[in-house]
Amino acid sequence: MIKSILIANRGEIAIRIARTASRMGIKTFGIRTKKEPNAVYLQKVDQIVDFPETDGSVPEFLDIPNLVKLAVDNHIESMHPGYGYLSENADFAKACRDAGVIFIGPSPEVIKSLGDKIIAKEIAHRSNVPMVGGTLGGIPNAEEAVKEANRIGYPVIIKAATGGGGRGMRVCYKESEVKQNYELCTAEATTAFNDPTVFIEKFVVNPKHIEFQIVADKYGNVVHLGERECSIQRKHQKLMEEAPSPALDEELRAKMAKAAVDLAKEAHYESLGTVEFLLDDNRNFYFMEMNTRIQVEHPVTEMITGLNLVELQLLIASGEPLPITQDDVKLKGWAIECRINAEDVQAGFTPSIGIIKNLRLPSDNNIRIDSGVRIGTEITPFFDSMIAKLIVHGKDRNDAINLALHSVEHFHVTGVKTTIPFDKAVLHNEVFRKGDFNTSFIETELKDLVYKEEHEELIAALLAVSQYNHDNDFAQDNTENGEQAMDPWVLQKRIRHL
Amino acid sequence: MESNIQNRTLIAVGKDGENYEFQVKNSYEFSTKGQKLKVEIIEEADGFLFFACEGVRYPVEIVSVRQNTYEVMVNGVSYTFTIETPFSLKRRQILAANRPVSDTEELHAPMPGKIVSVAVEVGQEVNPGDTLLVLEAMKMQNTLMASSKGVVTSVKVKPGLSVGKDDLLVEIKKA
Repeated sequence: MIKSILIANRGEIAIRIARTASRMGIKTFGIRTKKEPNAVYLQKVDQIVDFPETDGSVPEFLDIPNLVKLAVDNHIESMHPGYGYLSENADFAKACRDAGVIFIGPSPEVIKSLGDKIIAKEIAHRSNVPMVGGTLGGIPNAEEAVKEANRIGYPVIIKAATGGGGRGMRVCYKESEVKQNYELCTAEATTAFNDPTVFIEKFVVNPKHIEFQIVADKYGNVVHLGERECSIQRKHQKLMEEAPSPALDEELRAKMAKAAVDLAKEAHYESLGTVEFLLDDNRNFYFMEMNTRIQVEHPVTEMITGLNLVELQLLIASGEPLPITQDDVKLKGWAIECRINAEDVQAGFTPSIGIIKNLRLPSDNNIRIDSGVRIGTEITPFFDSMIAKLIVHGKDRNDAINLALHSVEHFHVTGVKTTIPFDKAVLHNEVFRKGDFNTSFIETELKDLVYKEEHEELIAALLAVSQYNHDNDFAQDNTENGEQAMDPWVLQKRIRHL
Repeated sequence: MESNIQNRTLIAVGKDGENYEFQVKNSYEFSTKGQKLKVEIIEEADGFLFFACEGVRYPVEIVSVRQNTYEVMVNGVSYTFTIETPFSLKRRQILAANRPVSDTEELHAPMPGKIVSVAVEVGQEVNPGDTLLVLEAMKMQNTLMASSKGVVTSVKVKPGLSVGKDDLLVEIKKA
């Protein structure tokens, strides 16, 4: 078994990895950066290493030479990249291997072929997995992009070859949009993934987004852990996920699972991986991409399978055979994950910057919260806006929805605005509850992006009025009488300070 | 013991002009449309604020107070009200009716972030939907566009500059 691990990530996923690694007896190392030297994840590791002084041109968790050097200098045996950042960067995996550090993930060769969506399409083609039409190679410039888009026919989607997590993707409905989107896409791909290559494919209008979790060891054993439904998205950013998907029956699940496993075998895959599919209205599915990392939404799979995906990932990286066979995998109940982001939903999901003044979390059987913040944590524009993931497990879909609703109603954050009122709106929505939705759900079905209780606006008006009344003339109106004049707001404060 | 305070009327005016009128008896007794509402503010031991109306508790937050404009959160949903007396409301309505229509479009930063590129320069003519600049926030690039036809009169930012929410970025004189 691996003895020590450097976690090249931050936030909730660093904590998530540290938790399991530590339980397995692996010594965990966390990286302290100047941007958040007091971050919560640093409390959860066995040892902290400081990121060295640099000119700041490359963000810490994208800085391959320095990350590898940290592992080498501190004699750390392995590197966990988490998600985002360098998690799907073949150069990073290779730099680790060259330095004698075990990279927790597939080999650089496999990351290169699968992480690169262009080569991945060739592998999918070889394993007879259905695909949508598009370009086979990268697009060198905007003029070429326009030409290819015209050839494929609109709508088209421009995607970063090494992208993921919804970044570096733009849809074009007409020729005039292609040039600008091409430029935005390459720029985004460069900042987020350090690789400007993009390609174009036919855009399937309003598909469902369904992905299969697979695990594969170095002995050729490949097992799938069922699917996740990730169609609740805004601008390709997933906001709520569930497992299993209400759109699949046993027959379709078996077909898609077989495609995912075939693809993984064809790629000689080893480690955790996710095969993403689009599912259209006629229940045709198309291979979209394979993610070679642990996903944000992995806990829903853990809930319904009872397996610990980070544990499996660490076992595989240690060269152990998979401890499970396909027959051991039983999907039990229903799980939902709500991503709690520091965003102002009412202002178009703009980032909400500030300090978390207060935090109150729900707790009950079958509720899990993976969070990277605490009271006092500052939400800065340096990092992405997700502050926590709320995951619930119910006996069936309805049960899970009700538990999720109950949980978000008892999830309170002050200091920054969050997506909690949005989660309520989705969970209350009839179309969502019926399970008949696709990636257009937010645009087409969700009339109000935030859920408001009956009379809530009146209550808010009354609160504003009573606060105004308290802040203004009330004292003057009420001077002559001692006890009666005592403002209960003041009284409360005085009692508290007795 | 009944105090001899005069009831006064306060009106909460929302962003879209919706308004709620309350009669204020004292700081915890209000009424609206003849219905009495007793309120209480409860600060719990962990610092959370709850607003109770007729005993029903709501998690709330006073987000900001600017003169008589209050942004409050109820159940995590933001509401902004300007509090007026009957007299000040009337004055406001008269002023609003006489205000000249602005001939300048001001583009403010919708979120804090970094300017990636600026697509226009002073003197340039723009049409609705034209890209003015690209703002990066939380690793997403956001294209900010003109909403009116006109001529750019000033560009306050350049690529690489970090801006705060509501910072003025570009001004356009409407045609």
